[in-house]
Order: sequence, then structure tokens, then C-alpha cells
Amino acid sequence: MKHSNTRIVRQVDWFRSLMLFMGMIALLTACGGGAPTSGGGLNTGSNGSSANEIKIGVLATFTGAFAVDGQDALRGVKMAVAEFGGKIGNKKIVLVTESSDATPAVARDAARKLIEQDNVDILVGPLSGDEGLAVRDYAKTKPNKVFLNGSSGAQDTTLRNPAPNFYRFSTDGTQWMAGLGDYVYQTQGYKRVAVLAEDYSFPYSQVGGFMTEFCRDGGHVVKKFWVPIGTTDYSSVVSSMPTNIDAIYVALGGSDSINFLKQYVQFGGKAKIIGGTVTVDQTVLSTKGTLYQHVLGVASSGPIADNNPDPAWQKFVQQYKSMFPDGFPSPSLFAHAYYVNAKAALLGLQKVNGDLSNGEAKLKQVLSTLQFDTPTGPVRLDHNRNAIANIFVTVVDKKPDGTLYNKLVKVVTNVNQTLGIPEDQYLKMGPFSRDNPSCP
Amino acid sequence: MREFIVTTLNGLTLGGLYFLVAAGFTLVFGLMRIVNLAHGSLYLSGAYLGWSIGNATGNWLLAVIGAALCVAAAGLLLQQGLLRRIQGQDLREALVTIGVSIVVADLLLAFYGGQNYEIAAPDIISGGTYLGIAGLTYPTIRLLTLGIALLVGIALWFLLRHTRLGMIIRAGIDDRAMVSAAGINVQLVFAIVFALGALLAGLAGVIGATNLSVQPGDDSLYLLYSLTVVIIGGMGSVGGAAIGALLVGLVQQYGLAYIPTYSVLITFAMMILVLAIRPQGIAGRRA
Amino acid sequence: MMPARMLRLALPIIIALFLLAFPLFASVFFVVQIGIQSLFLGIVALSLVFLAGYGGMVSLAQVALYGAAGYVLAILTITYNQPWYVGVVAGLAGSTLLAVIFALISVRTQGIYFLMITLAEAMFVFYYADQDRIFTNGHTGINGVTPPAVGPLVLADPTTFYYMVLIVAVLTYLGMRYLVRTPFGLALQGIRDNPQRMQSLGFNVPAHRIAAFTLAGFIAGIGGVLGVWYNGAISPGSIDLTRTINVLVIAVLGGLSYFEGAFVGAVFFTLITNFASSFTDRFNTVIGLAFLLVALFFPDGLIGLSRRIIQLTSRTTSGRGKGMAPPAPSSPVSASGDSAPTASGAGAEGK
Repeated sequence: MKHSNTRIVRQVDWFRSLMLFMGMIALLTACGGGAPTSGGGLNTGSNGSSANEIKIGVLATFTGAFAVDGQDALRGVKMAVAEFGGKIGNKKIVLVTESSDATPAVARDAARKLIEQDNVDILVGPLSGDEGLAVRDYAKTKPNKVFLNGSSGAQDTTLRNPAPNFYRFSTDGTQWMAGLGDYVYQTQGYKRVAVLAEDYSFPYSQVGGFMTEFCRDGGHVVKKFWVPIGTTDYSSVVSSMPTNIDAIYVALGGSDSINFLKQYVQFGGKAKIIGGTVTVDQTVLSTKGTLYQHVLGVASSGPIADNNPDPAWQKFVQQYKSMFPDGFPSPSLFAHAYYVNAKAALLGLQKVNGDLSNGEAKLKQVLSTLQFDTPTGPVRLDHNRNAIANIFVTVVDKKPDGTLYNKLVKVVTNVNQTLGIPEDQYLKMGPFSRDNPSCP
Repeated sequence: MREFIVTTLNGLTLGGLYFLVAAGFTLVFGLMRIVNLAHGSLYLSGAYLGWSIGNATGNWLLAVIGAALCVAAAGLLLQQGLLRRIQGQDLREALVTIGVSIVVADLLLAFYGGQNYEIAAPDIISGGTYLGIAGLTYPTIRLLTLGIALLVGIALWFLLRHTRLGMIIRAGIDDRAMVSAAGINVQLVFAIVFALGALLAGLAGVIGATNLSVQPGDDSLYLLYSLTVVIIGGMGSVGGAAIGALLVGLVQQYGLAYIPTYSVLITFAMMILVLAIRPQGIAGRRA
Repeated sequence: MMPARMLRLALPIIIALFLLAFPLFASVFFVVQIGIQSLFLGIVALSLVFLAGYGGMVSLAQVALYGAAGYVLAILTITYNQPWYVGVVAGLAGSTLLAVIFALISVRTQGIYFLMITLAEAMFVFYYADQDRIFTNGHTGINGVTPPAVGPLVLADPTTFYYMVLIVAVLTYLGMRYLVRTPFGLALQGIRDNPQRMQSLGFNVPAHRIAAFTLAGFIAGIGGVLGVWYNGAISPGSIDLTRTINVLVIAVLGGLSYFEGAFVGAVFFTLITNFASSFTDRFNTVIGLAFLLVALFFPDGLIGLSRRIIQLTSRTTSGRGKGMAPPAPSSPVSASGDSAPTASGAGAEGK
């Protein structure tokens, strides 16, 4: 019958196309064991760690809008590797990169590809907060591999439900705010402040860290504006900003902060600005345009300060500039965080002389107690394997050649995840959210 | 009260920007039945090109005109090179434009990188203008945007109502087959209209980048805004685009000022509501 | 003749053997990141192929419906500590219910308007998930969703999970193929081709469309449950505009009117996104170009393409196919007037 004939025709075509397909898959699967492994030009081509190389997987956002951050992160890792001459003992260090796109699902897939397909021994990453939670969860399923953080800064990655094989030698988003609340209250004299931030976890942790000190000192946060991510038009926020405030604490990321600052000035805004860590970080300061007259004098805090006179930092900046003439004028916090974590991994490897046997047991032990000096001061881990390190309070200033930088005004030492508050008391405060903390 | 006035002005001026983006989109759909999902890519290209030209020449006006013309040419290329081959098949055209938008977005990312660019406005339009109402100072650039939108709107109205080309376009929106049967070179009209739509998108891109900034992802964003505006206002109606743009701009600003968390949803809720109750939009006519 | 018939009978067996044996010769990574991911993405794409190829409705809301099921499952099992089966049933119910609501809103629109209203609906769901604190936990999403142990089957084990997903995918696929031959399925295709005529014949066109959309929502929900278990989490990033377009890309690449196309497209897409980054940073351009090529020149997707190759080269099948009426699904994308230099003539092309 006509009907059955056409059905037969379709079946055979379907068959052929599927055979074509399966052939392709079978071919790829057969090579799957030794498939080409890396992205981004740093290549191994080999499968499994051979006896004379150690594979380190680097997970960052190399594609999409955050690609510039990812590129700087990779520069940080390369700097660490260069310090060791590219080898530990007689084993060569091989870097394998994989990109995520700032979403947790892709970060997990990328981590899985690095660990299971490319067979890296150690993974360094990811870049952003929410991705960190996903990678930590994945790390729990791979207890025989060592995971170090990249620059992701969500507190909960290590503070709540930590993974025993996830090490964060970089500080988290709340730690980055240490010292700022005190500074703006005591030194800059701001008593009444409004808050403007994006409505998700990383700003919560930044605002929470800032307000913990600011409110404790006696400051008042009279109004909070939580805007949806991706808001581009802040004119109404600007116009409903209370007038009886000294400053606005702005915890917006990259492009949002530029939009806001631009519009704030257009409306003749009078209050001063206090910056979150990524509000006036290197990527924002090097934006092309004429915004810089608006950001002079803005106080902020974070894990690095561009003009830190510490010789270790100066040396780090010099090395960055000579290795990467087409990088930023100064390494960003992404380069720094990835550098610190990668260096920790390499130091650990050196101490165990590259011994990755037995589920990398020796390395894990060494890392938990590892202490070393970074360009930003000493670092060691707490019991959740999170960093205790220095934090820098900065103010934006202009160099003679016109480029902007964050001038160091204060160094806060030994900052831990709970900002010096006893851990049980800190945990009782509850996770930072829109309404927590509050001091109107 | 002051806050309300400022918010209203914000909505009006934002609506002006949206009108610029959406006007071209609605014309192209109305006449050619093409849902140009690469419209956002044209906007983004205009913004980046405007920055490049402005950076190279230091002249803002040149950047505006140059970018708009370049994007118009690009649009023409898109229409003649790709869309013309599959003319008449709505869905396929939509899919092709999606493919183009994916490719263009990636190429722009490769060329310009992921960081933020903003176009600096010339000094005379930076800063604020003193308005008599409530003694407030309002950003000049935003007023200028509204002014440009009004100018473009009037120009389009004049074009459609008082020129022969406009007459043909309106006739074509109503009944394309008839226009073709009347012996008019429909292909030429299509090309002109598509180029015009692209020109407006590019112009909007430069203005948007001057007002705010430009970053990857703006193409999807402004495409969504265009869709929303045009659906609410009515496909194929420039007047409808104006109404839709005003509505969307005002609703967004009021939402952001008074209920920031869910303000984004309101816009889409409006769009869904209009499509459900009156699919042709406020000022549109049934296909 | 004889060998051809034997091939046809052996066909399902060969494919079944390959899929069943896959974990035995493929690495765990391939089983999980390529195999499982292609399968559940294919299920979501299947719902789109059903709606688009057989119902004439190209919907961009499938990923949102996938997300609805996933979120309900995650919220119930993590936030409210309910057992997994409660989560699964509620999740599927959730996506189906949402599909009904969407359908009631969209049913009167057609073609490109339908595309846009489903896009608006999908964006609404995305922004809601991104913003809401009470249920969806905003941008961060909900973590820690692990597949359960069902009796002796530990679904968290990759191989077990793979087989479970495979069985679900096969059942869904077979179910769809059966459905389109039922009176409902045939009526739906009639509505796709000529709604006015069907209406005048007494069919309740809106009711059929709503039913089809609801069913597609249910299927997308199945994909959502599996997806959440695969990822161990759900966040707005899983249902944003990029993922929405991805499913459309998958379906179009495979062939918008072939159920097999959903899975073929999913495998192709998964392979590219996982491995193209080894060769170039511009893999999005690669995907975009592939999509463009398909939309311009091969509107029937990869399946249709191989069909054309067969018609060009084979004599046995073209002998049967020559002059035949087009088979039941017609690609909503391919054109009349599409020039195809085949000996078997234009009639054998899609509509």
C-alpha cells in the first residue's frame, strides 16, 4: 500500500543516516580514550599522566563576556608555573585548559571533562562564585583528585558543606570587604550610607562583609537597592536615592557599575561612592572612555592593591608585565587568585616530590598545613581549607601618565572567613541575604 | 513628586531609545513579513562601529552617521545575500536570522573582546539641562535621545504619509501581491525598507552606547526589547511602535523605581497579555 | 531485495546493540557527558520536533518547561526534603500544568507569532527563576540534587543512570512514533497542514493544539527531571536564552520533522560543544554556521540530508519513492520551490 511503501522508504533512509552517525560515534569513541584533550592552545595530546609529567587542569571562563578575566587568570597560572621552571623534580608540568561560561552546569561539565577525559591530576578553578559551588560538589565525587580554587568567592563553598579535597588559598568575597567598613566610617567619616547591588549571592556576601563592620561601628544603612542582574538603566534608582546620605556603597560588577556611575554623574549625583571589590577593579579601571574623572577617590577593598609598596608585590607586577606585555597595566585579582592557588599546588607537589599515588594522599596532607608567602603577604588555611590572608583597603588615584589605579591606604592582616568573629557566632548570624544584615 | 517626575522622564527617554530600535524591526516585519532576529546584532554592530569610528576620528556626529550607514549596508547585504533566496518562508527566514545572529555575536566578541565600551558624548551634551519643572536638572543626553526619536518618528511619518515610496510601503503592508501586480518593483522596495530598518538599528546602537554602554549580550537584550515593543504596539505599525516603546519604557522605569525585584517580569507579562488578548497589538492589523 | 529486507529487520537490533553496549567500550566521560547528555537533551528536542514537525507549532518554550519540572523536583527534594518520587511526580505535573497555561495563552496564534509568544513565556520563566528568593533561590539555583537509589539500582552510578536514561529515551521515542499514527496524531498533522479545513470537518482545532502542547510539555518535563539529576543542580543558567536556542539548534540540525533528528542533532551538538573548543575558540561561530547552512540549504537537517544522498545514489529505494506522496511529517522549514536535482522528482521532497 502507498502508506506502507513510504514508511519503508523512510525506515531505510533513517537506517542509513543512523549508521552514518553511529559510525562517527564509534570512531570518536574509539579515539575517546586518547582524544585531543585541551583547549586554548596549551596542549598535551596524550592521555593519562605519563610517568614524567604532571597535568594541571585550568578551569576559567575563556569564552563569552568574561573571557578577559579568564585570560588573566591563565596568566596567573603561567606565572606560577614559570617560577618552578615548568617542572617538579624531573616531571614536566603540563597545563590543560577548559572553558566555562559562568553558569554552574557548564562549569561542572568542564571540570568533568578535565578530570575524566583529559585525566588531569590537579584542577585549578573555577573563576566565579556560583561555579565554585558546582565544582565543590563535583570534587566530592572525586575524592582521589586534588581541587584548588581559582578565584571563585562564594563563602559557602568552604564555610558550609566543604569538600575535603577542595582547597581555597585565595580569599572569598566577604573576606575581601575586611577593613572597608571601618575605614569609611572612621577615616572618611561616612555615617549614613545607601547600598546598591545586584540581586544574587556574590553581592550579598560583599554587602554582608561591608555591613558587618560598618554597622558594628555605628553606621546606618538607610536604604538598599537590589537590582536584577543585567539592569542597564539605573536612572530611576539614581533618582530615588535618598538625599540625606553621605555615600552609596555600590557592589555592581563590571559593566553595570560603569552604567551606574555614568548615569549618576549625568543626574548630578552628590553623594560619594564606596566600591565593592569588582566595582573598581582593574578590569573596570582600564575601560576605554572618559569615566575616570568620576571614580577618583572611591574607597574599596579586596585581595590586591595596585601600588602596594611591598617588594614582593612589586616583583610580581614586574614579572607580570615582562611575561605579558599585552596584559593589563597591573595584574587583576583573577590573575592573583589563580597565581596563589596554582603556586600552592606546585609547592605542595614539590614537597611530596611529585608523588600522586594513593589518591594523592600525601599532597592532600601537605596542602592542608601549607603556609607560604605570596606577593600579598603570608597565606595559610583554616580548618575548612579556606585561606587566611591579608586584605587591602584602597582608594582610587591617578598616576602621572593618566592611568587609574587603586592606591593602598590600609593593610588588614590575618583575615579569616568569619572576619574575626568566633565561628559559631558567625554561623548563627545566618547566611547573608537581602535583609541580613540590617542596620537602618 | 520630584521622584515621580524624574521617573516619568526616565521612562519617556528610555522609550525614545526603544522606539529607535523597534521602528526598523516593525517596518521590516510589516512589509516583508520577516522577523529579523538578527536585529539585535545590527544594534550591537552599530554600537561597536560607532565606538571605533568615534575613537578614530574623535567626532561623535561622524560616529553616529558612519555607524548607521555601515550597518545599513550590512543589513542590505544580509537581505540581498541570504534572505532574498528564501523569500516568503517565514519560519526559515527566522531561523536564518538566528544563525546569523549567533555568528555575528561571536565574531564581534572575537574582535572587540568582552569588556565594556562606552562612547563619550561631546561636551555640550554631557551634563545636565536645567528644566523649569520642580527645579531639577536632567541629563542632556537623555533629552537628546528623546529628541532624536521624535525627529525620526516624524521623518518616518512623513515618509509613509507624504511620499510615493511611503505609499507603496503602506500598500505593501496591506497587500503585497496587489502591489506587485500593479507593476511596482517590489524587490527594490524591500531592499530599501530593510536597509532603512538596519540604519535605524545601527543609529540606535550608537545612541544606546552613548547613553549607557555596550557589552556582549546587548544584542539579545535589545532584540527582546524590540520584540516586546513591536508586539505590544502592533507589527508593521510605526505609530504602534511608538506607543509600545513608550509603554515599555515607562513600565520598566516605574517598575525599577517602585518594585525593582520583579520589574523585569512585568514587561514580559505585558507582552504575553497582549499576545493572548489582541495578538495584532494595539495598533496593528491582522495579517 | 532480500538483503534490503534483512537489513531493515536487523536495523533496530544493530542500533539497540550499539546503545546497550556503549558503556562497555566507551570511557565513563563519553557515557556521561556525551551519552547521557545527548539522550536527555534529545528528549527535550523530541518534544520540539513533535510540536514543530507534526503539529506545525515551533515552540521556544520547551526549555522553560524542562526547567519547570527540574525546579519543582529540586525544590521539593532539597528545600522541603520530600522523597524523590514525590519530586518526580510533582515535577512532571508542574511542567504539564505550565504547558497547559502556556497553551491556553498561545493557542490562537500561529507561525511566527506563536514562536514569539513562546519566547516571551520562556523569558518570563527564566527571569522569574533568576529573581525569585522564595522558591528558586535566584541566580545561584539549587544544588545537591542527587539521583536516588531505587531498590537495588543506585542511579547515581553513571552506568546505571545511562541505562535508565536510555530506556526512558527509547520509550519516549517509541511512544511518539506510535502517537503520530493514532487518530489524534493524524488529526494533528491535518491541522498542521490546513487548520481551516479541519475546523470545517468538525475537528476542534484549539483543543487539539492544547493537547499537543501539553503532551510536549510533559515530555520536556521528563527531560527536565533527567537533566536535574545529571547536573546535580538547577539554576537559571540552565534555562536562559542560550539554552533555549540550543534546543532549537539541535532539532533543526537533526531535522525538524524527524523524531530521530532530535537525538541525532543532540549527539552532534554535544560532540561539537565538547570537542570543538580543542580546535578553536570560535566554536559558537562553527555552530552558528552549521545552523545557517542547514536552514539555508538542508532544511530537513542531517536526516533529510542523508535522505537526499540516498535518493541520489540508490536505485532500489528511489524506484519505490518516485512519484510517491510526501511522507507524513513535512518539515516546516523546507520550501516548496526548493530546487532539488534528484531523479526522483520534487514529489519525494518534504512539502
